[in-house]
Parts: sequence; C-alpha cells; structure tokens
Amino acid sequence: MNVTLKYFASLREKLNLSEEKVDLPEHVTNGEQLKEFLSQRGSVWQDSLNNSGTIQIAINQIRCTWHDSFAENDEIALFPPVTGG
Amino acid sequence: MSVRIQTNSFDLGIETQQLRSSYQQVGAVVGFIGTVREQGSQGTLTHLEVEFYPGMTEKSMKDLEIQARERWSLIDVLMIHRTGKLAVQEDIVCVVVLSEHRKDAFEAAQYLMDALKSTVPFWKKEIYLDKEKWVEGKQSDEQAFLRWKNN
Repeated sequence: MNVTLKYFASLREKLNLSEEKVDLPEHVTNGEQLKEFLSQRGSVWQDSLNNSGTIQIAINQIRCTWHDSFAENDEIALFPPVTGG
Repeated sequence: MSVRIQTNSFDLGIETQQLRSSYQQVGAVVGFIGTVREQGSQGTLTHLEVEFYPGMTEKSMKDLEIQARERWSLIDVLMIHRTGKLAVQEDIVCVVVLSEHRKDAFEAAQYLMDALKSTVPFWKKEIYLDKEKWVEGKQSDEQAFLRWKNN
C-alpha cells in the first residue's frame, strides 16, 4: 500500500525528515503497525516514535487513533502534542 | 467567517473594524491577542519559531469555528495565527468574535483559544542566544480545554 508520511516539529528534526512516500508491507495497515514498521529503521526511529509516548497521528489531515486503518494513497502525519496560540 | 495563517503581522483594530462593518446587529465585540513573552522555559528568549501543517491547520481552525457556532449565538468570527519567526512582544494569534450579546462573545472567544491551543496543529520552538527548545504541551492548557467538554 502506497502512502505519504509526514513528520512535524521536534519529530521532524529528530528524524531529519519532513515527508516521504512509502510502499507499506501488507501487514502494516494502522498506526500501531506503522510505528513498529518504522522502528525497525534504527534506534533514533524507535526512540522518537515509542519512548516519547505522546506522538499523535492524523490520517488525511484528520486526527485519529493508532488503531484506525489506512487506505491506498492516504496521507499519514505523525507529530508531537500541539503548542500553538 | 474567516481563518488565516500568515507570516505578516496583523492589526487587531483594523481587522475588527473591517469585520464589524458588514453587520448592523452586533452588540458585543470581543478581541484577544496572544503575544510572544520574553520569559521562556529556559530563560530569556530572543524569538519563537512557529510551524504548522498546511491544510490540516486551516481545517482544524475552521472546525473550531463551526463548533463554537453550534454552542453560542455568534454573528462572525475571525482567527489569525502567525507562523515563522516571531520576536519578543510580537503578536502570535488573535481571535475576534461578534455577537448580539456579550456572554456569547466572551465565552466563544475563550473556547476558541483554549481549543486552538490544545487541538490545532501549530508547534512553537523557543530560540535563545545559545540554544533552542521545542515548547512542550502543557497540562494546564489541556485542562482548560477539557473543561469545555465537561460542561
């Protein structure tokens, strides 16, 4: 499944990446599985995505849970808690 | 209805004047400005940098206005949030609410700011002379927003 991944703020800086297109393996269909999949890239990814514990997820620019499913061509964003205003 | 994200500064007076000019029935105008404080979490900062999520940020702000309109009787709403580099004392955000009666405008303005701080994708980074630090989400901001959900 082809998706676009976007990273913001402190997460973007830690990963040194703001956006990428990824062809996800068949078994990766929700946020939980995506976190596990990306964590295999190394300790920086693992620490940033799991140890923080507070990373949030949006699918197609709508906030969702880690258990909501993705579809082909979805835009999936991962980011830390918001701090505007 | 208007939601704007911009790097340029804004003038609350001019914005409010323009917003009011098309309505005869306005009886209450509430305006709020959030500004850059000198005191950061690590001492005296030089400026802030504000990042957002193009598309989702605008949509989230519009959703807040829809929610506010369901809850209070409002004539119009304006929300402006700046992004990029903002020096100490500069304006970051403003909310203007027009209604017939003050209670609606006061409460809606506070709701919009509380909800914006807890839900809209903006991230602030504090820049100091010798370091920088991303602002962390505050429990007190979350509490301020939750109180609207529970009432």
